[in-house]
Amino acid sequence: MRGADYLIKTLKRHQVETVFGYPGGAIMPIYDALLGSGIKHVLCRHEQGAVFAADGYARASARLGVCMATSGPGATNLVTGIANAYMDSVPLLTITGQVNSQLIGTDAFQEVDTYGLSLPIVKHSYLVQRIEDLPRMLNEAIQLAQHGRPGPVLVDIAKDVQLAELPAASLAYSQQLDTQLKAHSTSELPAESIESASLLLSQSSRPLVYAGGGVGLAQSCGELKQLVDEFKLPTVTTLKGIGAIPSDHSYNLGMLGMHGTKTANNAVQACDLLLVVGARLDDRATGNLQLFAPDAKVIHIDCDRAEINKLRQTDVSLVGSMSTVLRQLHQHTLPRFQHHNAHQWRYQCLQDKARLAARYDAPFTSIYAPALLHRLSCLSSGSNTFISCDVGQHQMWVAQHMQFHAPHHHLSSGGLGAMGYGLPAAIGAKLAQPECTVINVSGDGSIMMNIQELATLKRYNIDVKILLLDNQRLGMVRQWQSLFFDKRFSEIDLSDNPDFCRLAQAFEVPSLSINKAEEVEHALQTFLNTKGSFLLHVAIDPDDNVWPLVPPGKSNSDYIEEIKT
Amino acid sequence: MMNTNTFKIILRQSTGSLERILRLIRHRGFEVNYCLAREEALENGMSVTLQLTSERSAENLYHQLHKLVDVVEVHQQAHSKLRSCLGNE
Repeated sequence: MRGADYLIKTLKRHQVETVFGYPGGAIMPIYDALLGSGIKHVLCRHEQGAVFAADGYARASARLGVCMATSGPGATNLVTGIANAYMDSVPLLTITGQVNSQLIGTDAFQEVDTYGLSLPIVKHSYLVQRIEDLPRMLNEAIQLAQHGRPGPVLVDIAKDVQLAELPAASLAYSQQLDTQLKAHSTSELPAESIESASLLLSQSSRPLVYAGGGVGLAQSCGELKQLVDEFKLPTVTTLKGIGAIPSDHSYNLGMLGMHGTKTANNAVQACDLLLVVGARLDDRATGNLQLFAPDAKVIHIDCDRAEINKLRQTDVSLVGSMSTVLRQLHQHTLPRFQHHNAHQWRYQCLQDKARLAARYDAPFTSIYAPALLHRLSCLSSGSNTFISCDVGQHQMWVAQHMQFHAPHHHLSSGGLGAMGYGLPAAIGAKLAQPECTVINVSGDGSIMMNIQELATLKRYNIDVKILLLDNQRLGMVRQWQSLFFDKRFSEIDLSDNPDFCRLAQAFEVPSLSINKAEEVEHALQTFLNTKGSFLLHVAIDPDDNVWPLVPPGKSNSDYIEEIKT
Repeated sequence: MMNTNTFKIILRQSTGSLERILRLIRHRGFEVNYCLAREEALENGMSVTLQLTSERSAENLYHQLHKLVDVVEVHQQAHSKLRSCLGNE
């Protein structure tokens, strides 16, 4: 069996059904082995499209995403997508072809140091230069990508290794890593830490849950909801934590941070106990860290010890399996929790939430994107809809104004903030969840970054809806230039955008363009009810900005409310 | 305030494992004042002793190093205190 055949066989053994990629010279043996293997290969039109699609597939299905590309430019085109998966802890296996092992380091055609490029943006990476190493490295890579805190793992395989016959003896590879990982899985929490956390929680008069993306990754939403319900805990979420508690849950105060709700940011600043669950206290969420949650003691729950005390000193840390920790915390707190302690706090949070709720009833004649997204959410709500975003103003409007009942239904490039993510991620999500509705909400800047993936929609007849909010600007950059650079607008004008409907037509994607508020309802019905892919182009006012906004370096209590620019 | 810490790291020796820890140390804001790397008696092992300076928390670096897949053990020494842990716990 050749190395390439072993690779494909191993992917199948790990239940990999779909891979995304783009072939080239140094990965040809693997593409040869792929033929007739039963694994579905999705040929994207750019390696970045392939890696984002694998990421969307992984997020939407909680399974391993797999992508592959050739050496040199194939590998460099993957870099943004790998970094994206790293920042958002997505289980991703990236296979790259490499030039023959004898040519590595000779500046050969399409040679680049892929392994070196990978170091800052992967959980781990391997360069396979000997066929004997392939079984161990490949199996480790698949395990590592999914174990503990998930992340991308890259396996760069020299072409001669792909072609070499695998010695039978090499199949009995070292199980050293397996043993280490198993040992980690069974580690137990110290009882005194749970006891300390339970005491803090039960004695608090202003407790607040701060839920991040780790809750969904650990599939611990049920345990978190039980804790929130039982102790009636007001809850805020990060961008990636959206859906960890259903958006319509009475104690969900919304997203915190730079574009968080006023209710959420007020609560964080006023709480006396912050229960951080699967979050890394990112600067976009905390604002000025010195002024963040100034009166709060902190309990931090995470599977990654390196996140504890990284940015904010904790009073109690609970490192381990999130579901186990949450269950134990619940059990220990139940006998001693006094609901009346926090009654006034809960009342205040809920009053704030009602008083400061977003309104959509302004009599605009132009289309107000938050109102449109809110309406889209009402029309498409339920467990069957996945929303994939790009990056910019529309991304924040989705986070603020759409409803989510599970975190994996909201696909957003959170940590890296990579424009161009949305369309390929939606393709991956649809292939992972073919029975569900998948909508890519994008902007006119972002969509052009991976517009070539319309060809992938067409080729595979993939039913992805694209809602394109077009203000003919790089809107978020414009908003910042307006607020923080004296309205000196530099390189944000996209008024020469193509005709997006004609562009869609070229890929046989039906479309509709609207620019008046009165057209929204009918257009959304058409958008959702048309069978197959569809592009709804929505012209919006470039002066519509994202509010509220916490200026960089400020406290989350110093948010700016709407200013007409 | 600049702090100096000594780290002794036992690595599973593989392609680029030393490069990986040095990259992490740089990126997390530490200067390398001293580095000694040598083969360790254990199979495929490498021992690396580093003296590092930074204003940043050595505890954070300790945990970042600790979770690298190739790291078997990390020992940190600062102000006459020694902490150590097995890698990938």
